[in-house]
Amino acid sequence: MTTSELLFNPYKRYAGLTSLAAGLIIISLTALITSFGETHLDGVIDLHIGSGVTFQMAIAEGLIDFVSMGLFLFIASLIVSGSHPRAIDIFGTQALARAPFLLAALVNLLPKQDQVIKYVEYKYLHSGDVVELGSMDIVVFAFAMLVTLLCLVWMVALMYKAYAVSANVSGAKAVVSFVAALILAETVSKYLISSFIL
Amino acid sequence: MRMKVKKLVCPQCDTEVEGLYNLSLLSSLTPDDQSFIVDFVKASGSLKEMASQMKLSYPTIRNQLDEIIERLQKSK
Repeated sequence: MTTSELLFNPYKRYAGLTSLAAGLIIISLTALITSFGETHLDGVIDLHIGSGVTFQMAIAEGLIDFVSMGLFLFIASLIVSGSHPRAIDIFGTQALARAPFLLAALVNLLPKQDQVIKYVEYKYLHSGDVVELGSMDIVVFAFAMLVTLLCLVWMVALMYKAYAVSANVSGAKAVVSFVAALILAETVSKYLISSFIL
Repeated sequence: MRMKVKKLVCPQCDTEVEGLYNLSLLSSLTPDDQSFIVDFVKASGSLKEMASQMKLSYPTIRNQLDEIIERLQKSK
């Protein structure tokens, strides 16, 4: 398996139970890190710096994100796929597709991420306390933002590939059904997390 | 339109028979596809078994089979 395949299409080799097990380990590790880093994954493609994040809260957020996406993609696959997609492949590959957020969670452990948010709130929204920031804090924050953004793009690319392989769909049919499932999953996961977790 | 066979030859006695014979549907497939079908039969039609032998995922193997089925349907 080439590096490119490993990064963007691991599903050629790994799907079903194997990827589900690996994905659940990744989701748990991500939850552990986000609980240390005070980061919320409050939606399928969301990562926000917050406060008061417990491990239970973080794991619930991770599972809601993963199940929402898996469920809507499975429904989409039943509608558009001419093949016989298995739920274990859809859910398993979607769990593994969340791996880039493990890296994003690690990067957001960098110090003073929340201070930059508080600084912006104070300076531009005129709320909260006065926060002093050095230029290095801004550089570190910008680096974390850039890496997080790249991880988000990478995760969405993996989610799409996972869906295309698991459901055997391609072209406009695959793109439209994926985008529709992503929008629905994002809406439902945000609603569930904001109503029952936060 | 699929090609037809015009001449059959026995490699042992060199007997030649001329006519117009249909090729099997499987011969319209590429050698890779034919090899896939042979492996599929050897694995008793188990995609799971094939995936395990070829060190590929189940959906990857199933997608290959779907593509071959589509090609066979087109060449009918």
